[in-house]
Amino acid sequence: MTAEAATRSTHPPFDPELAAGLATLPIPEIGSASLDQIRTIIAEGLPGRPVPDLTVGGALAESEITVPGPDGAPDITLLVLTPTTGTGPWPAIFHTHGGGMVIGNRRLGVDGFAPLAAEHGAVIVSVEYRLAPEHPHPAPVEDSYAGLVWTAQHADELGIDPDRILVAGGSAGGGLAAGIALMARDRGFPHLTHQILIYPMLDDRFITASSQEVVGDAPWDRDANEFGWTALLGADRGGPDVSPYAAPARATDLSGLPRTFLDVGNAELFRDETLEYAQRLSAAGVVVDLHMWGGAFHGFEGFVPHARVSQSAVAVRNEFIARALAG
Amino acid sequence: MRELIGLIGAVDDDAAGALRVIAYFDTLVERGASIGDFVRGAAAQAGCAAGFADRSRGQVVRADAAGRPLDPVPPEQVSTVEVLDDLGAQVWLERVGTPSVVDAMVLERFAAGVRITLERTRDRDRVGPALRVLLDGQAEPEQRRAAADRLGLTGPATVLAAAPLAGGADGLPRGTGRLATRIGRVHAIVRSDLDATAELDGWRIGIGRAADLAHLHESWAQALVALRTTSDGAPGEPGATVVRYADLGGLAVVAEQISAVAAEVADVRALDAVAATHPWALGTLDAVIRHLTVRSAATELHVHHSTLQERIVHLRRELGFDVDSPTGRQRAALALVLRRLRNSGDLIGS
Repeated sequence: MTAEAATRSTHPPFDPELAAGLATLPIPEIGSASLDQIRTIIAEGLPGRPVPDLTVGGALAESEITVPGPDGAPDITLLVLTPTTGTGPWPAIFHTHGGGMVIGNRRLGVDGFAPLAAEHGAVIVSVEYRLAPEHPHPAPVEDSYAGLVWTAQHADELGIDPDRILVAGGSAGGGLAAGIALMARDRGFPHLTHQILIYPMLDDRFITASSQEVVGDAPWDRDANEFGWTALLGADRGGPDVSPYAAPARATDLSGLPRTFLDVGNAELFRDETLEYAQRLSAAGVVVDLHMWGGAFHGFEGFVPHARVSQSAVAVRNEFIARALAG
Repeated sequence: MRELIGLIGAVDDDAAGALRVIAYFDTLVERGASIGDFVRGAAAQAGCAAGFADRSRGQVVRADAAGRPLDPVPPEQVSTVEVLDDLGAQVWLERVGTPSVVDAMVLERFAAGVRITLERTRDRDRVGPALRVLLDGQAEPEQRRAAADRLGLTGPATVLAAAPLAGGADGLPRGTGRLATRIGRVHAIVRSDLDATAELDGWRIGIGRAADLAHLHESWAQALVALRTTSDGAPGEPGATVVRYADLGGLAVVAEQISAVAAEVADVRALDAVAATHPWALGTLDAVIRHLTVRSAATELHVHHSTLQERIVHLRRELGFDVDSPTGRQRAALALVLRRLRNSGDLIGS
């Protein structure tokens, strides 16, 4: 963080509906003091709040598998959702959840993909990776990659077509999806058809304009981002020795990556790193779809789903994923 | 981070629910939200479908609790309605089953927000047509008077004609007040202060003479004439970007009589040619004819006076007359004006 960094937000104004929605929502302060409480709330849900039905009314069957983690590391759990009608092999969405590398679990955010899997016939696999700061890099990304490798190696028993696996995630999950796509390329396995990177967390360096623009008035602000990256990387954050698997913006070679979908808010911290990633992927010869939504903050479509911009963003994203699953 | 706040914010009681409704609608009002924003907001806050109807236009807007649009037809059953009688509009909730404790508050805030939006947008919709009549010299005096009444104008005013500078945005300029509309490619702005000045960032402006209500169309015509003589502010283009008709003197007659096509005389084409190859040419010419001495012109241009002498020699060769002589200055000044009139063809038509 530079000394002259802004003390107040300087991002573009929020869309009116998103601003109204934000005014009704408390913005949790992410830090070591609140970590346990936030993790508990995410794990248990709140009284009176319906638990998302990941089976989409029974169209998907839910199961969990314990599979080997990275070498020398504990086993990991995979949440698997499989269509209950029709026969595979199905395409697969390998999902890495969000939560700034420090919170969340394998169920978080899966409800955004489950209806697509139900409608278009796909298997969802969502990985329970270890969280920072208790488990810093490389635990989250190596756990995620191990889950991906196991999924591809056991495609047969999961009813998955191993040639039709895509990775997807939002926020930190978008960063992890980008990270395991780089690993899959570099280690030669598995083959991925697409990476769906939803306002991804890609860069630990705070060198873009947008990385300084959001302070305290929207989800995932500068302080939260600093907390998340420091939890993941410790003293290495922002320094010369950070792996591109932890911070994909660090990757110097983006060629040979799968077809990419990116979307991001115009008034969020991850704006510029997302735009730059899209630009560099394109220059490296990757086919990229990029959508930036005006006046949108981080996670806007989840926080204010009824807003018109949220509906547009979800429709565009879902249409892409539907095509990706069909292709 | 998706859903996180939603999960945490779900700690709920009646008071918190009411506060959320207030915070939501207050923010929409502050941000000048649209009717659709209010309909979706009401539906989301109440957790049931909501709707709006404008009888005068036969317009219906409905949304379900997820904000998705519903068929724009009046529903068979509504649970609660708030009628905005003076505006010919109504808003409602389509609650099925037990009403929520927030229903009454949602409806009240929904109605208040829609009222503000309707008053604002209808004002905007009414102003444009009325202004176009008021400023139309072909309209009957009676029509113009009625238009002035509709606009709430009571005394003399000044009309401004505004167009974007080169490379500028083409929306309605900010800070113009409510009496503004687009006529052709130019924005007409009526100001009730008689000595109207205008500093609109990114805009070139002509200002007519103050006139009483019966003669505002003349002020508009004058503003257009003045606008034709402004510079478009492009790099290398000299001249003022804001011009008052009253300051034009005899030039007003020239501008009124000479079309964009007629203005393209040989001297104008010569200016085009020299400007195309020498970015400094028009600015230098403009400085030379405005200053008594080469030295003071050179000071303004931030060049050495010997450099300026070389430029003057060059201009003399390119234009075919001595720009530094009294008659040459007049000829050059007229050529610069004619060139702006010629360029105004894109703006106003020739």
